[in-house]
Formats: sequence, structure tokens, C-alpha cells
Amino acid sequence: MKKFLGVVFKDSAILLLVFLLLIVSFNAFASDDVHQAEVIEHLGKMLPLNLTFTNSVGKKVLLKDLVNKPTIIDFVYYRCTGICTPLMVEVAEVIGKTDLQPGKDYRIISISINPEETPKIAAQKKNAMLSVIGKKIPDSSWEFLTGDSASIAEITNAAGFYFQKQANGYLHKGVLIFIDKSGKICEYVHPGYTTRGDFSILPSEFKMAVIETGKGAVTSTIQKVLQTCTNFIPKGKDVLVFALVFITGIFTVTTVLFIIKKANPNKGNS
Amino acid sequence: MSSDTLAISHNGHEPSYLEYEGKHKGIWAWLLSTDHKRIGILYLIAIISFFAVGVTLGFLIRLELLTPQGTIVGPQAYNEFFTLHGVIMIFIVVIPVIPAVFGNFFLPIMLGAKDVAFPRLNLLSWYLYIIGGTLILLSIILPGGAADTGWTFYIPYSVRTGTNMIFTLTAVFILGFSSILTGLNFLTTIHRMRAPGMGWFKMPLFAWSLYATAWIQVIVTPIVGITLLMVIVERVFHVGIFDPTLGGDPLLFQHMFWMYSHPAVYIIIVPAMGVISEIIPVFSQRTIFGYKFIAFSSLAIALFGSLVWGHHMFATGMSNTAEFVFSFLTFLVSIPSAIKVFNWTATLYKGSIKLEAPLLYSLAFIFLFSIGGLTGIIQGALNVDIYLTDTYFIVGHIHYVVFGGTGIGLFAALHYWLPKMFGRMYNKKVAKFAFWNIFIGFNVTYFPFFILGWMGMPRRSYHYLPQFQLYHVISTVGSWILVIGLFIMLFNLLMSLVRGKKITENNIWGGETLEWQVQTPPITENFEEIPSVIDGPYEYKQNELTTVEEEVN
Repeated sequence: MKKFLGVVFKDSAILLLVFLLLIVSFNAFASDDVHQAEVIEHLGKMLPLNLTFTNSVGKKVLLKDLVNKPTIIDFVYYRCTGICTPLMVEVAEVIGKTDLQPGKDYRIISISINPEETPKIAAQKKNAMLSVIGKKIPDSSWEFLTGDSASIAEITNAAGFYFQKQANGYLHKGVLIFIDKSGKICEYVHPGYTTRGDFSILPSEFKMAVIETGKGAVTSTIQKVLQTCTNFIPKGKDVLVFALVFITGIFTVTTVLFIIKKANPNKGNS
Repeated sequence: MSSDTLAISHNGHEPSYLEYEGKHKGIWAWLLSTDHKRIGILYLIAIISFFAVGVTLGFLIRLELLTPQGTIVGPQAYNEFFTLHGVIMIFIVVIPVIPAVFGNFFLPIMLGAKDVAFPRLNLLSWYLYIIGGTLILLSIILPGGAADTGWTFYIPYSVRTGTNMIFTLTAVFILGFSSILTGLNFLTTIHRMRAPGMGWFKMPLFAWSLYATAWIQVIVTPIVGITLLMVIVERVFHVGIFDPTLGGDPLLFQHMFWMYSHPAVYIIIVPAMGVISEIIPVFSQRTIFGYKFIAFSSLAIALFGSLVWGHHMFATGMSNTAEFVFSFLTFLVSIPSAIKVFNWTATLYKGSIKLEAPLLYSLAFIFLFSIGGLTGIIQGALNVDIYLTDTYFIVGHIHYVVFGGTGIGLFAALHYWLPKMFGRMYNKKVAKFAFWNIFIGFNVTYFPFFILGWMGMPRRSYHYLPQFQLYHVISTVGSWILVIGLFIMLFNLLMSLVRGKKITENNIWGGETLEWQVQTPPITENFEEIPSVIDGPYEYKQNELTTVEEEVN
């Protein structure tokens, strides 16, 4: 028996080792270029702020100079025909819905992931977006940046924002990344969807993220989990389950009535 | 309710159930006893212990919410805290407490029976209860951590979370069995073991409330049992019953869960209403107003209460017709509850009121339960509920109903019956002091929840926006007052068992129900001779008249 156990132990140890090696090799393989369009959260890590981008009036800006308060980074591209505009519109609406002062309490930086886009395109987008916000905000409180491919790659990789170039644009996700003034990633806010298919960012969640980022607190993500159940029609074991409940119910009541009727309690006790 | 045989018998010195020596000795005389009174005491000890754990968790939750961005624990620990607080308080404390402790102890005495119908089953249900409770405690200690889904175990998170879900689910499953067995026992006892002359409408109202409760327990508890079993199956075998990624239906779980858990609210509250119906006539020395209405309103609550579960799901997706019907039925449930409140108030009118601790708690019950009930109607309205779903308003509502109702009802019962159970009286001044502490602490703790909820504070969040802080601070300070009050109350009751004034008379408060006619503390089989019942349970005026007549004769 002891010998048998020894063999089993040895075998399973080898198996485990092989298994671990496999996992490690897969991971090594995976980390090369398998990142498709996804967001891998680097909570608590630092974003490189020594990068230079161009703002919507064509001026070179150093990120470090912009990030002097809680900052929301939003990776998009301005000629995107997909989710970028709806996401930015939702951001614009949230700015109007919260009582925080953009430019004073926080700053938003949209960064184009397309190195071919120019400050002129960025300026058009900026004008469009500012008109969506219900109130006037300081010009510098929402920056629309463009930059070269090296800077874009460096900052998106550091943020865990992975995207792919396609024939007619980019395959990418939509997320708001909250960083504090040192560049530390504090929170990822994944927008939810309304029943009409629009993005929705809860003003309270947005405000909370800004406030906590201001304190440098790193907060884990919840919204991503909640998104799993939308637009879903179950395959229908419901009838079976309800039938089970119904049968149990009938059975229970019958049994109880039977016991009440047949029990002979007085005899049993005295 | 009087009987001549009894009047003679309680002058004898039979050993009480506390002194009785059976074939087992020491601790086994309790752990293996099938005496309904000893089992009641076993439940009392266990439930009060779990209650202390639940209170501690609640206290820590309030402490955590003192500041907006986390005070003492992180998000994961906080999730486990509120889940454990909910699971322990709901499934281990308030669902069983009044039937298992006071029902077990007093139902047979009130009916004029020697014991419940199935004494061994009764003991088994206590052991099942202990196993269930222990499993929950184990889930905290074992690696993996306690469940963090909230007490509602919503899918899909309860299938995905890496915590010891299976322990918690199994525990609730087993506790369900304990609950079913108690219900079955009471049903049979009430149907078959009433003393000669004790017709259905001569039963005390506490027995009526236990009867209604027992039916709910027996009918709906199997549903939650099956449901939680299916969650376990889903976790282990990935069948695809509830989990949407496997083609299951998460809403199905919510239906199944609330099909039990809403009626469970009535399992929680109806026995407490029974307690109040006992205390009010005794301390105002008046016949209860509308006996039959109170008795039938318990059954009406049991019936309607089983058909309103959908109002927990107004925001999670149902057809408009279903939402309308559930909302309408929800409004209907308020009628029998209101009948009770009006009848209690009418009973007090022109009564000779003795403002002792049990009555104080009963009045607090009526006040707090009314607030809980009325805020329930606010949420039963479809459109308002969409706005209030998952806010602190709901948390305030559940605490006013469950704690303000059953919790306070439990304290009323403790102050009313504990002297009878142990033959010693607590310090009445301290009891009243503790009452005011609890009453004030309760309102300071939970009333801000309504304001917070109305302002939009989401429930189950360890952090919040700074604009909510003022109300959270008030609430946390309230929780300190409340905990001090609870401590004084429990300490006072505990000390009374050791040092309290000994009671020799049978009828401590001047009650008319049978438990006040037997010896204090009761003897092992309650009665030396099974009594014959002539009058109804609350006929104070008539009793006075008969005494006068007897004197004349």
C-alpha cells in the first residue's frame, strides 16, 4: 500500500510539473502578440508621463504637465465609426450630470490611437463634444490629443489597453482609465449599456472614481462583471424547474395532511 | 380560561422541568431531552449566541461606513461581512427564533397538551439547526472565505465566486429542513392535541399565528431547498439551469429564491405579531378587540404573502402584466397587517394599562412595524420602486420590518415569558432603561437609511460619495447606542436567571391563557391533569363578572 501510494505520489508530481510547464509556456507564448482587442487592468501601476502629444490647436504638450489632478484617460480615434463617439458623448453627458468642476476637480484626456490623425481632426471632434455638454467648461479641461505611433504604443501598453489595426480602422474596447496626478492607475470604469444599446456611465460611479482617484486610492472594477447578462435569451429549462417545484409542492402538502391525519400523538406521549 | 382541577394542582410541589431528573444525567439531560420546554431553551441559547455574532457583524459594517472611503476593511471583507450578517440574522436568527423558542416552550402549554406531537422530531430539528449554523461558522474559518454574494445568493455571481458558497448553501438547505420539521410538528400539535373544550376559536392568538406560520414553513421552504440544491449542482456540474453562459436563466433563480424568501418575511413577522397579540390584552386587562379578525388576518397574510414575490424583481425584468399583478397583490397584503395594528390599538383603548417592559416593547413593535410596513407600500408601487431598487431605502425598510418587528417582538416575548420559564424576575428598572436605549438607538441607526436611500446611496457598497457622510455618521453613532442597549438588556436578563427575585405565583402578569395557570416554572409534562377549557383566552371582563357571581352564590 505504501509503495503504491509512493508511486501515485511520484506520478502525480511529474504530471503536475508537466502541467505547470505547459501553463508557463502557454503564457510565454500568449504574452507575445496574442493580445487582441482587450483591456488588461494594470491597477496600481504607473503610466509613463514623459510622453509628448499634440493637442487640438497643434501645440506640443508633455503629459506630465497635463496630469496635475485626477485625470481620466480615454483611448479612442476621432474618425471612428464605431463606439468611440457614443462613448465620448456619454462622457460629455456625465460631465453635465455631476456637480464636479471639470478643469478644477478633474481633467479628461482623449488620446487618439491612430497616429495618422491630425490636430485638425481632433479640433473638430472637440468642438462637437463640447457642444454636447450642457454647461460651459474650461477649454483645457478636456484635451483631444494626437501623437506618433511609438508614444501611442507605449502609453496604451502601460495602461493595458490592447487594440488591433484592421482594414477600415481599429478593433478596440471602450473604457475610462482614472489616474491620479502621479500617473498611478486607480480605477477602470467600463461603461454599461442601456436597453437602447447606448453607453451609460452612472454619474455617481464617475464622481466616486474621481474623488477616490484624488486620494490615490486604487479601486477594483465591478461594471465588467455586470455586463455579462445583457441581451440574452435562456435556452429554457424553466418549465422543467417549475414542474419540479410544483410536484414538490403537491407532494409536501399531501404528506403533511397525511401526517396530521394519521399521527397518534396522544398515545405516543403518555 | 379557568379550570378547577388546575387551581388545586399548582399548590403542590412537583419538580419543575428544570429540576426534573430523567434517565440521562448532566448535560445529556438537556442534549437528549425530548421535553419541548428544554428544547425551547436549547434553541434560545443557540439563537442568542448567533444573534451576538450577527450584531457584531452589523456593528462592524456600520463602523466601516463611518467614512466615505473605507474605514476598517477592504471591499472583499466588507462583502463577506454583509453576507454573513444577512445569512445569520435571516436564516439562523429571525426565521426560527420565535416559533423555535417560544412556540416550542408555550404552544403545548397554551393548548393544554403535554408536549408537541413529535417530541423526537423536535429534538432532531434542533440538531439540524445546530449543524446548519456550524456549517456557516465553518465557512468563515476555512480557506476560501465566507460567501460574499449577499444573503440572496444571486446568480451568476453565486456560481462564479471562489468563496465557500457550497458550505453556506448547504447550511441554508439544512436549516430549511429544521424549519419544515418544526412547522410540521406545530401543525400536527394544533390539529390533534388541543385540550378538551379548546375549540379553534378558543386558541390563544399566538397559537393561531404559529399555525399560519407553520403552513408557510411547510409549503415554501422546500422551494428554497431545491433552488439552493440546484445552485450547488450548477457550481459543481455546470448543468446550465441558472448560469447564462451555459444557457441557463438567472431570472429563474430570482423567481425561485423569492418564492420562498418573500413568504419567509411572513414566517419572520407573523409569530412576532402573535406575541404582541398576547401581550397587549394582558397589560391593558382587556379582551382583545376583534379576535377572529386577528386570527384570520394571520391566515390571510400567509395566503397573500405567498403570492407577491415578484415585487423583489420589478427592476430585473418581467412582463408589464406580471409587474402590475405583483404590485397589486403587494398592496393587498397590507390590509391584514393593518387590521392587526388597528385591533391592537383598539384593545388598548380604555384599558387599565400597566406600562411594564413587555408592553413597552409591544408598543415599540407597533410603531416601528408601522414605519416598516408603510415604507414597504412605497416600494410596492411600481414606478417608485424602480427608483428605490438597491438603495439604502430597502435596507432601512427591511431593518424596520425584521428588526423593528421580529427583533423587538422577540425582546417583548423575552420580557413577558422569561420569568415564567425560569421562575425569576429581571430588574424592571434596568429593563426599561435598556428599552429606551434600544428604541432610540434603533431609530437613530436605521431612520437615516430612508434619507440616504432617497438621496441615491446604493446598498452593499463599502465606499460612498462624501455627500452621504453626515447620515452615515449619524447612523453609526446610533448603532453604538443600540449595541449598548442590547448589551444592557441581555445582561439584565442573564443576571435575572442567577440573581433575580424568585417568583412563586403562577400568574405573574395577570394573563388568562393556560400558561399562566400552570406552575412557575412549569412541571415536566406541564399539567398534572389535562385541563378542560371553558372560556376563550382573553375574557377579562367576563371573568370579573363570574367571580362576582360566585361570591354572591
